[in-house]
Amino acid sequence: MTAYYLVVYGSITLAGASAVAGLVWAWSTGHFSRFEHQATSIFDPEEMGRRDDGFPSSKRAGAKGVIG
Amino acid sequence: MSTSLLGEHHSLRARVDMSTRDPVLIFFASAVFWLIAGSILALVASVKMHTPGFLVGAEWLTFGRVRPAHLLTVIYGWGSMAGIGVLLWLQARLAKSRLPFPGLLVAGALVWNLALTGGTAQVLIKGGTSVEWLEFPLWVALCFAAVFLVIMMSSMRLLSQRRTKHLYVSQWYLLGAVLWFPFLYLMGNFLIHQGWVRGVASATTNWWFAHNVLGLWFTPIGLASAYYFIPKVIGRPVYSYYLSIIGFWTLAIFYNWAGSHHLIGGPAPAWIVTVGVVGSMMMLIPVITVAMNHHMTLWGNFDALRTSPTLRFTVFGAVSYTLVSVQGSLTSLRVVNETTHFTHYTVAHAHLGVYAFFSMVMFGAMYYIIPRLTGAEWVSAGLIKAHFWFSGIGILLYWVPLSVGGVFQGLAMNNPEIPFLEVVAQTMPYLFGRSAAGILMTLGHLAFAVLCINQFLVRGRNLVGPTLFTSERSLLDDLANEREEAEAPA
Repeated sequence: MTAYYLVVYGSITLAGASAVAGLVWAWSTGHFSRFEHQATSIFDPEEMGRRDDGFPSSKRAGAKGVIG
Repeated sequence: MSTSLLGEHHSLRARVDMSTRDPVLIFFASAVFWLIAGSILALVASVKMHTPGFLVGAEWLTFGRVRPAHLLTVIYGWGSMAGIGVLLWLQARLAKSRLPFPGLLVAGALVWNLALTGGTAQVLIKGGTSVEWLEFPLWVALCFAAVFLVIMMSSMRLLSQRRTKHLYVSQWYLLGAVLWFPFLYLMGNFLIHQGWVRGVASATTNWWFAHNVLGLWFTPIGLASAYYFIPKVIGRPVYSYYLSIIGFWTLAIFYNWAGSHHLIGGPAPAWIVTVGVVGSMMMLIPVITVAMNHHMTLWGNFDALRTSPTLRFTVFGAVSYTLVSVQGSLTSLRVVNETTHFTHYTVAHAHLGVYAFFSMVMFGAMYYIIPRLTGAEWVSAGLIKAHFWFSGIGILLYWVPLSVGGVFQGLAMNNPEIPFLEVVAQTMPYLFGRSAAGILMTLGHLAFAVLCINQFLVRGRNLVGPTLFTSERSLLDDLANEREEAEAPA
């Protein structure tokens, strides 16, 4: 029974401690300072406002402005 | 920005895409095959519900074998293989890094197909284990686990060699799926099939597993896909990145508690069921945050739904995610569940989740990804339209009547004065409707299969523009006409 409590409560304690440690690390490394800006990371610089990811045909037809 | 730098980005993106080509296309091709096989099995099972004499001569085509075979082929064949393909492509794209272990992943796809074929044949010929969603024998589960090991290795390598400094929201969900599902699948198989849990504990484990296949496997892949393709197609970032992190962590915390609401009315301890109900209601938090985020991202860009196949399928799926999740939370309440439990309502709900949400999002993703891997555009916008409308109308015709019929069925079953056979007879119109809806969806899948075969044969190589629902020229004409009409004096 003691082993059971050790495993269950030990796991919960470890999970909680790692969550707190993760938050402290993220805060101290400035992870949250430009958080919203990360939403733009899926766009390469040339895609912003042009939407030219119409590969493959955009390479032949030029940027279409609309992609499938 | 200099021309050389622009070209560098474009060529990096193309190189990353090409590194995923072989494994992703094999997973996609397999998924399409299993989609058709699963659809045929579904139709056979559905017809048997209202015409029990249909194909009654063959033992392997009896309802008790065809129905689990349908479920297994669409879950582990179509859904999982399409999901893995999308997961691999998205992870590589978001890490801006070449996909590691492509050869092993191709071998993994072959092993997955062999195990799935053998397992399905065993279910049809000898029967399954009779444990919902875990009907395959243990050897199939071990084969899937081996493939998952390769997928995990590939994901972890991508994570460590990524060129980006942070992880985009889709990567959180994908990493969640990669880490959660293997644990879930192995635990479910070992605990139940090795006899480590029995009786009530076995039923609890079963529903913990089955519900989490949706919530911790299909849902994160589907949401990762929606979080990538909606912004990508309309060229605008996600509305609120903070909302997205709330949505992710509340899903991670609450979803895994929800499964035990399936045991309402069963002999399980009341507190286990109550925990399931509470977990299900708490799921409203991630669902509302995700719905708000997707809706506000799309706000002002609804016109793009007229042109982009990817966006139309993805948004259909995203809206269905909200619908199925809210429905699921409400259904978990005891007062609702005592009527809907053991009725066709539950079947309709499951299809809303796996089909209207997950499958539609996967279709959308595949319409985007496949041309970038084959170097050819889709050969027919008409067939894509046919696919969308057959699938969209099909699932609505499936969900609405079967949900309504399920409520009537539940009310009748709870009335002891109505004989059971009379209740069965009352459900007949809804069951015929179910088969008709199944035919529509299958027609949509056939259109999709024809398109995919043409893609694999690279028949759209010489088309000069993306295959859109409405051509760019006619779209601009429409917009000009609308503007003229708006400006015209009354």
